[in-house]
Amino acid sequence: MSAPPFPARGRIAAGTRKTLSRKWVQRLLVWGAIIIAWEIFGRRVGPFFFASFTQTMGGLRELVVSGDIWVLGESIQQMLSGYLLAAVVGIPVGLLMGASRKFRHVLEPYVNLMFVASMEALLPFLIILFGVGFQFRTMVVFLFSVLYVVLNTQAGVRNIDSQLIETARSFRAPAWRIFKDVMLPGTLPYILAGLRLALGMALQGMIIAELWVQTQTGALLFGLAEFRALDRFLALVLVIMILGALATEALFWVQRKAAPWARDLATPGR
Amino acid sequence: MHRTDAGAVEISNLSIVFSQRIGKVQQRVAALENINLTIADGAFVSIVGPSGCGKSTLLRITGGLVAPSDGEVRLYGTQVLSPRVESAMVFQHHNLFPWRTTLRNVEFGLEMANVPSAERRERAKHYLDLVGLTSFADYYPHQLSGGMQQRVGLARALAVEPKILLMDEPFGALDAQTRFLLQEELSRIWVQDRKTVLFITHDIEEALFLADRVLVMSSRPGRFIEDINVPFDRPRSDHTRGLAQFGEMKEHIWQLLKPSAAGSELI
Repeated sequence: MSAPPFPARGRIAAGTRKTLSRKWVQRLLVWGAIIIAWEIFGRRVGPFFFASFTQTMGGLRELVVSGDIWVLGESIQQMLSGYLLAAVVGIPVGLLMGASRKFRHVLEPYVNLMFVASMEALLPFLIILFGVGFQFRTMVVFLFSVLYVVLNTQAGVRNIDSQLIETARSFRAPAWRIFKDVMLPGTLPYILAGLRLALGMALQGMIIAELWVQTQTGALLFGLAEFRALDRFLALVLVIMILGALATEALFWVQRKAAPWARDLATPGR
Repeated sequence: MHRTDAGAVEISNLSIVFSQRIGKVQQRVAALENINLTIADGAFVSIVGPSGCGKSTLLRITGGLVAPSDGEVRLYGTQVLSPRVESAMVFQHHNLFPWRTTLRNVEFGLEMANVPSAERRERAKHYLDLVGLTSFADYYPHQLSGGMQQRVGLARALAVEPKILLMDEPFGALDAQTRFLLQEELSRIWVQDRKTVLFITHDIEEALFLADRVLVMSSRPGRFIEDINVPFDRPRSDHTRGLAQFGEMKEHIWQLLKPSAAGSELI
């Protein structure tokens, strides 16, 4: 087998590597500038109104030493249960809405309504329904994230090239193989993109629910702000943001690995 | 039902009518009207006609993807009611599955036929080799050129080892040079195992170069206006294209198509 005459697009060529390193130089420069500005601003306005970068790092150490930071772990566990529920419900509903006109016509108005409605407005009602415990928080995370899974999955099904389905038919593919070998792989990049967007929403839902019922990370954030412990407050916010960014980045990676043919979709704007 | 004396493809009294809305009026348009055609086993037949004459629809009916309004198609005596095992299709747009590599695309039809995986792989490799793409087995379709994509589409159809190959303007979207190369390659592959081929095109030269028999089609309603035997020896080459008789036949078909082509230009 002779070597292919040109490299596959998936591999990183020397030129790409150069742009990659340039990207990181740019990022470090920008981040460095932000940290310096943060430090100067923090020192100017004083700890009552803001914490400087060094104070925030001190706050982070305190959070770790006191063990307070681990409350985040418990929050995330609960968030994941709501997120998984959103995936388990959202993917089949999205597939059905994409594949069946009837299903879509019935569900679409509700889904769109929920999408534009303020989820926060529902929180008092959800407390009545589910109380303030595990169920409530799972439901909030679920409601925050499920629509992104549903709408993306649905868009994926509807974007499948009908000619591919016809091609599969011409090779005598039975209906279930058309589903398994055309619909599912065709929709996969969209499902993964939906799961990625939904994760960010789930994290938001988690914090908002916990702020409402004053528990775990939410309660900690509230308490720290009230007692003006802005160094630890900002440290905790920073950790949440970084975790969210890392999780999103991880899902980008999964998307590129699981659907290498759909790079443009997996990484818009990259 | 099965008759041994039947042709590879027998189309009888076939019509297709679809309704079209023009303004507020619902009109019934006859896309194909009373088509009759028998193709002998092992023949290479081209249908040439202006765009919109229904030639692709005729092919899709033969492939079992569309049901006719009237009449029937039989492949080796068996009526076509859904895609038949005797035929395989090659499409104008390569229609490769973007999530499958080249090799796995070629395996698709074999998977649907439940061929065991080891045999499947061997056969797919064989046909990939036949179209000269062995070293691209692990590439995804978007990494291939247009010509390569069509070769993979051809290999995918050949891999199920159909008796009849149904080709729907497979080279129509390619640039002229690539089209010439692929025409010669198809001609070479065909000479090796002489499958029955029904080849749809709007390119008169392509039809003449490839086929033993060219059917000229008019539009609205689509029907055959001439049935031409192509006498050139095989293997054919650039030399064939340069023959005086080749040029004369090309001119003759063009004169037949001209009124229809002008008509479809006006629509």
